[in-house]
Amino acid sequence: MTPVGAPAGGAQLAQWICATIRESTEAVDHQCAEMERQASKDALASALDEASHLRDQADAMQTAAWISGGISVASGAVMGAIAMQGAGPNGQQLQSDSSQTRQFEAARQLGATAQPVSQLGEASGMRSAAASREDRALGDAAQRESQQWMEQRQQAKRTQDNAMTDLKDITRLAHEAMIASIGRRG
Amino acid sequence: MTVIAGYAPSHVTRLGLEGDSQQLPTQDPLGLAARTCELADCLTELMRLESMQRTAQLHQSEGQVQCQRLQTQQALQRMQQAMAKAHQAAQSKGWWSNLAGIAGTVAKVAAAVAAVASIVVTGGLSAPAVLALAGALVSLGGKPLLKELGASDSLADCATYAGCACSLASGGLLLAGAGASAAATSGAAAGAAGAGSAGASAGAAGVGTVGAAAGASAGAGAGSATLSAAATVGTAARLGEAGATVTEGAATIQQGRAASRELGASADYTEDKAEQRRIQDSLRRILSTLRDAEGSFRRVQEHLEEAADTLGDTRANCAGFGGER
Repeated sequence: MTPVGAPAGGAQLAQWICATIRESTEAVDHQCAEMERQASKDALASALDEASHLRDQADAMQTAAWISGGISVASGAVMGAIAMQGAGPNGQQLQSDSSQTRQFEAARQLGATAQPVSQLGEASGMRSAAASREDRALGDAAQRESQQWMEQRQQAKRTQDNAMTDLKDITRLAHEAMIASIGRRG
Repeated sequence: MTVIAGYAPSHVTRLGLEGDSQQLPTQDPLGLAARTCELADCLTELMRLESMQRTAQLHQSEGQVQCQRLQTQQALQRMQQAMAKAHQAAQSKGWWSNLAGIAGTVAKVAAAVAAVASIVVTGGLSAPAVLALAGALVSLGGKPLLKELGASDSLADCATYAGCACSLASGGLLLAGAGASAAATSGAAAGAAGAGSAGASAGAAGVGTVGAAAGASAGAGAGSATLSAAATVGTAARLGEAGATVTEGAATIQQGRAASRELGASADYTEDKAEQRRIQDSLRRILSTLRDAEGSFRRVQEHLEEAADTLGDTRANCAGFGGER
């Protein structure tokens, strides 16, 4: 049964089939190229997001370091000032109920808060690092997808080439047949 | 003879471009020979156009590839710089991290020494001093000791938390005691003023011998020297702790800055890598387009050659018909 719109002759039908295959493979090729470009764009966007999250992580770590380090420095400075202030041979400042000891202990406790603050900053940095790793995984997946589309495109091209070769053979055979027919008539 | 890039002279000869006028059959009522000549001209023109297009495409692609090559080199250079920067920052971070660790250990040791000195100076085991000493010792040596004994990480972490809890308890007791002693000071001062003088005179009357007075004096002197030494050591330990804490804080800041630089360099590297990948994709597309164009050109060339063959056959047939007539 001849398809709708298809020519009736054998050689013409073969040509029509090859041309149809060619058109469809061209459409597939175009679609694959579009998908490949899109996947490449996605991979690039993911890589840029990953870099952005790494920068966020860097900012979070730096901020945490400044805060916790600043607390430690301030605490140490206050502790040093208190220790210098009450320095003397009688040991009054080392008495557990002396005001210097209490102040010194308060400054020490202030310094102890640096560690939790630092850990809060590190937690924020870890969140950014996790997001960065996620982006990297997405980027790798997009890259793989892009390669798959490229392979499909190459396959479509091969199919198209085969169709073109078949079309050429058919045309040649048709022409030879026509020449032979003319020769017989002559 | 016309020379066309990409085509052998035999193709041109096969098309009958040379001496067409001499080879044309003299008897050709349908004008087929003239039409085949026109077709041959068309095929030649098509070959020329295809060749020109191919040359232009090759030139364009060459320019694009050169540009992409330069961009790739720049991206690679930037990647190398980012890697070097990250390496340098990592080294700096390690150095500052070590310094912060050493300063922290020194601060803990100094805190323990200060706690011992405080116990000596107070002449007994007051609860805050003991807690401060226990906290310092547990924080300092608890974790490494438990790890040495084969305890799990969580248990070793518990030692650190216990040390922190002892230190916090010590500080809490001291700060709570501050309020209580302030309230008691005013009342105690009033009572001590009246009772102090009577008690002192009664005691002085009872203690009268010279030997007893000398022994008491010697004992008091030795106690005073120990007290003074402990006070000096305690003060030095507190100063050392303060200095180590300041150093630890400064090292922590520098460590954080170095870590930030390292991560920034990693981000630069990631961006440059993405840029390089984009260039590679672009280059791949250019090469793919070029390959397609080359394939297309070859196909067209083959088709034109076949068309030339067909034309030659047709001319031969025409000549045959002319001869028969």
